[in-house]
Amino acid sequence: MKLTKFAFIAVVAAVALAYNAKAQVSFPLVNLTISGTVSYNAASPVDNGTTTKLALTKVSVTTKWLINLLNASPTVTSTLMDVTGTNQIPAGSYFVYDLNTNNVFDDPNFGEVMSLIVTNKNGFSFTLVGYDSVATTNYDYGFLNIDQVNLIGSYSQNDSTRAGSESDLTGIEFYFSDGNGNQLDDFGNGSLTWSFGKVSGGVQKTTLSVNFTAPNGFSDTVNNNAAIAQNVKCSGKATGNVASGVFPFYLWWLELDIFGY
Amino acid sequence: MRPKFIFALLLLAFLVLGAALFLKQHLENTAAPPAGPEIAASAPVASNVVAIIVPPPAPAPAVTNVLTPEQRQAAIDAETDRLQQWSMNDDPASLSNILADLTNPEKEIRDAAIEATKQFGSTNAIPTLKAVAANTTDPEEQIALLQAANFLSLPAISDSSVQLPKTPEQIQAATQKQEQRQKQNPK
Repeated sequence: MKLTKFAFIAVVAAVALAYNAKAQVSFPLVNLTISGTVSYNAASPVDNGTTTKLALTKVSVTTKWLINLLNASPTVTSTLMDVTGTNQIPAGSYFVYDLNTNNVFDDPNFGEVMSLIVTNKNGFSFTLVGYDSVATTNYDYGFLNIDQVNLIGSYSQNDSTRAGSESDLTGIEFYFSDGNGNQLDDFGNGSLTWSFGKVSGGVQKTTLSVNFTAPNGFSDTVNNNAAIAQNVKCSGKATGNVASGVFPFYLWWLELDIFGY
Repeated sequence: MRPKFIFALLLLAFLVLGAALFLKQHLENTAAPPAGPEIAASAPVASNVVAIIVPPPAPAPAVTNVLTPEQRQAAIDAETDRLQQWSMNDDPASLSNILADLTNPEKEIRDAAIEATKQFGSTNAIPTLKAVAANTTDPEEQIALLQAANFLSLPAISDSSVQLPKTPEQIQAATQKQEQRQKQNPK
């Protein structure tokens, strides 16, 4: 009798685990490259006696420098220590874009916040939006959102294998802040290009390329000076297994009904 | 009869459990960021001086006509991953590898190499970018190479992080703001 009960529980547990494994099928994390330029007034005007001049300072923004800014910020390093146990992002780390919608913040304009994660090949991982359980506060050092409403797409899908390709266009918001006087909050648009393999075992091998451009600065600062960012670009590519039923992505995404419309 | 039933049930349970674990492990592997090879292992050793001369075609990846389209794409993706990893380093060997890929036969790799050069952030790459641009027939690629050279000539944010003295007007405005805040919050 007891053995029968045990066997029954074992079956239920196994089925639950199997279901959980299917639920974990998610979008692949995209290795992201970020670049752009920012202009601001770094200096005071210079008066040579006849003319007073003030020039704009233009600086470059790269993934590496964004990580350097995070490492130089006392606010970020404190959070890093609380969340990861180290106060510095290791050299060689890079950004990945997490399209999965399971984050703690909701953006009033865009809906779910898509995570930017700083990671490396040795297991380090720091999500730029999250909750610091030591400081008992939320933190927000960056995200990359796609517009939940203004997302359009074209696609071609095989009726039997459900393999195919898709090209989506969407509005985006890129946000970065080191909590130390440097911030980029820029809007633009971009593309998500998908390639889906045939459905097998409930999943499709999927390649995703993202190419986002925020051509105009919206709310930027450099060293606490008002700044204007130009042509901030975020791009990358990833391959992984995605649950079938996501293709076409743009329709699936709209049906998530994040805003409750 | 009953032990047989129990045994069958247990066997089924273990089979499902095994399948679940296998599936879970498999999916976790596919969801993880693409693992790149060890940089040091694949990096050809170069001198500390970055060549101004246009580098010879890159030795990797081996993209030949023998490869299937899938293999070719996989080779391109692997090299693109390596470029991204090299771009996050600061050593001359990584820069040398990136510059070598500026003349790779695959356009996708050349494009990735241009971006990697920007990300690496060394002004040492400017002469090579200009030299490759001069030998490129594709006008779009030529523009991208020259834009990358211009990009590298800019200082990075961290380079300009020195706080400069504020103007008298800025100081006055800041004082006024502080006084206003104190009036609103007398604590």
